[in-house]
Amino acid sequence: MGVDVDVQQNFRSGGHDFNLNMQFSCYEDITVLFGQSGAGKSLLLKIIAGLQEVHTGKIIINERVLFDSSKNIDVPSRYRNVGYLFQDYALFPHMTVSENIGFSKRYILSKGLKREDEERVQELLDIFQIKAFSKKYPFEISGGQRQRVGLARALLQRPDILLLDEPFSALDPLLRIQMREELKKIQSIFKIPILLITHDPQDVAELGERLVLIKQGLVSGSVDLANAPYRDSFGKPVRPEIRKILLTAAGVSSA
Amino acid sequence: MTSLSITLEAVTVPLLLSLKVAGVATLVAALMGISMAWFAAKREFFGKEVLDAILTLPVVLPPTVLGYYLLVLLGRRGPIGGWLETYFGINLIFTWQGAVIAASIVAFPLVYKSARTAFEGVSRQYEDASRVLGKNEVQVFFLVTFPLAIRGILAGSMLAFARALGEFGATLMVAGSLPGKTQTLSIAVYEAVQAGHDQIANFLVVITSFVCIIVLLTSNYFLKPKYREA
Repeated sequence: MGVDVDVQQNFRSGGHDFNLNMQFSCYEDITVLFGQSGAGKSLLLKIIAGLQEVHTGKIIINERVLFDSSKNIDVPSRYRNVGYLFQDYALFPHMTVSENIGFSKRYILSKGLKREDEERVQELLDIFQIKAFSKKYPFEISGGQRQRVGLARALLQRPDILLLDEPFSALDPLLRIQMREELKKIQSIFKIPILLITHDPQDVAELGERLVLIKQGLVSGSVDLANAPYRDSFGKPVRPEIRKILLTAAGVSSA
Repeated sequence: MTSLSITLEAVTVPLLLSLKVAGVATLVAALMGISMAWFAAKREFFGKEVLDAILTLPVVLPPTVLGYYLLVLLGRRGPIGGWLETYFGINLIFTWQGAVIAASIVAFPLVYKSARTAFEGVSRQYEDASRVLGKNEVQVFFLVTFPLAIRGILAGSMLAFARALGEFGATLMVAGSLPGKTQTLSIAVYEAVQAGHDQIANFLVVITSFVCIIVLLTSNYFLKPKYREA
């Protein structure tokens, strides 16, 4: 079980050339993608979800080939079974919280869900403690609640992987601490690989079990954060060590 | 008594005909306008802006010019009219169906333009989100894109209906002014004034204004948003 990504693409827009060439693997843990803006992190998530075309390479999740240019395999987004949390959550504004969560099981002509799917929506409303808002529209709830709805919606179809595009950037610091804990909880409940983009060193230290450093479209390093020297004997992150690799990756000599 | 019943009939017949013609024309214009607008807003293809200009032409062209084009195309010796005549025995000139064609072409750009703007206003992110959630392109359209654009589309359709109701020039060229058959409200007003039937003209004008006010009120009601973007 695991995720293998190896993709290459040449983007040309407005006279700029951007070469994307990324290769990494991860397992049933939380992998943090860290890098500067414009390094191609969001692009990578879109490629994995099949929302962005890619030229050559391979994407394999849990032994299922989603993309393989040498065999002409390119599974469409809707069959990839990928959970995706967009940066601003992209909740459907015309649907209530529970309609948003049940969306992946909905058909055009019937507004209701099958009983087992409705039960699953209720279950997720419980897990994320958003039952009280289930009849509200996204504009009526707070940022933290919206994020929970986005996560619940992505998890309803039991995805093989969860892709999170800067999930905490829109939240205030206190809420970030809370949501990091919830994400760890999700990881322990659903046991799927989570791929998370962040700019925040705090996220790397608190959440990362694996760190993938991205620079100008390339994977510049991959670090196992789950063990020494980045975790102490109690499993707590050793911040100075983590800080050191992030600074080195950013091109600042460690002080 | 007789004079009153004549007056009533002089109003109800063109009114019902106008509602029928404008209703069917709006339906045709909406179906065509929505599908063309979706292509223009969501797909890239060569010559898109040229096509956009051609599709917008009916609002810019004088209705009589448009009517003349239609007459040439749909007439017995025209390419479309001739074909319909020989193979189906159908003649569209001087029929209410001809009036529908004229009115839908005149009304089309109003739906097309507002639907295109509405579709372009639906963020790609919502559509991508539904693709990732397992939906195919038809489902994406009916569950997400269309509901999020519906207000703009309804606004355009209401304007199109009002425009179709008021259609005069192109309809007169294609369908003529046959009382009870192709004489719509706006043409009936013209005929009444020409014939010096001021009472009928007054009545028709008041009725037309009344119908238009109802259309505008209804559209305002539908356009009240029930949600906003978060």
